[in-house]
Amino acid sequence: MTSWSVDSAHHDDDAGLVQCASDGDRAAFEELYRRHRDHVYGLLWRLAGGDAALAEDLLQEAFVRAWQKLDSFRGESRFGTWLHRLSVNVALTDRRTRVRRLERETALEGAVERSARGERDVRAMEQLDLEAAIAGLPERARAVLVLYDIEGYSHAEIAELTGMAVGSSKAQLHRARRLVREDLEK
Amino acid sequence: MKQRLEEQELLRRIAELPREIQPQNDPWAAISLRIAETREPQRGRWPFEGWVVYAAAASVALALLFGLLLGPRLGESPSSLPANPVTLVNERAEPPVYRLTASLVGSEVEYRAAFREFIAVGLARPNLSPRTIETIETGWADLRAAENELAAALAANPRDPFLNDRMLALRARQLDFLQQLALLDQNNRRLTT
Repeated sequence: MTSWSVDSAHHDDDAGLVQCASDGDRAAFEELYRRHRDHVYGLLWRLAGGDAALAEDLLQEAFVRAWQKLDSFRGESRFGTWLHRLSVNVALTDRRTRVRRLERETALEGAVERSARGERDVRAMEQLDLEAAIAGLPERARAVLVLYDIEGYSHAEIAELTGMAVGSSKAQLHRARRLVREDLEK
Repeated sequence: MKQRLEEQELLRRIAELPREIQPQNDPWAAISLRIAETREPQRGRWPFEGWVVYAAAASVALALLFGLLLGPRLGESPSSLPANPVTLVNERAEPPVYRLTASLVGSEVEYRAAFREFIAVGLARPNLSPRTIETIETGWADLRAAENELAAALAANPRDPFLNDRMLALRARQLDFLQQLALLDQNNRRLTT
């Protein structure tokens, strides 16, 4: 179970909003956006390696795609869980194309520092160091650590989302934790 | 060098990271405009949508025909248009007047018709967020600023092919803008009545 489905227990009434949004009610969709924006953004911000501008682009793309695909939401899971997975897909798909093209690895640390100054809730220096260490991870390792350790996905779920084997997900997690520890111990 | 960080300590620190982060810039305005352009969710697809496309196509054809027949008069009689009570952009001036070449007449007729129609209906502002309204108003103000500059240039050089071409392109953008607003507005009204 992802942390989302635990945290979103207070979103039981999402179902009504989803129904209205499915019928074309943009006000209902905006309310869903307001409820879930910060959690989706937090996920995307980390998957984007702390690049706030990219994360905002991904946030926009995720919600536009959610609007387009509302008809495929069957209510078998919570809306938040569905939206979360859709957002991960947007980020991973985008990452595969953008990161290859831009090769922005070397700019990650600066990006984290710039964006972190603007984010109000992530201010403790310890957390800042940790966020920077996570942002500096190789893409696949970072994705696995964010999804497993922060968002609560299982290795099976990560394997399904990323297309890697379960064993690879476990190996990437082990590698990611080691790299983060080494970074923080410097 | 810091102390060696044990894995349990690392996991504890990771667990303390906030799951929710507020973006510096709220992209809702952009999302709102994009979903206004995109198709509705399947179950919510507006049955009127297809009709609008056909109506728009028919109006373009009629406007072109009308423009070819009556074109030369249109540029000379804009005062017959009603005053502009638009609430969206707090703008009370009619589209600027300038002499029209034949190629521009059709688009001009369609644009003025859409402009009048939209103004007559007005925009259901209370249903839009302030950010969305701000985005709309800024976009519209930019288009009108470009229109005023082009109109002034056309008044001086009414037969300039480049200026006419630019005005045609601008009218297309303005028409698209008005149509998007009309869709957004009608959808809001439909869902709040």
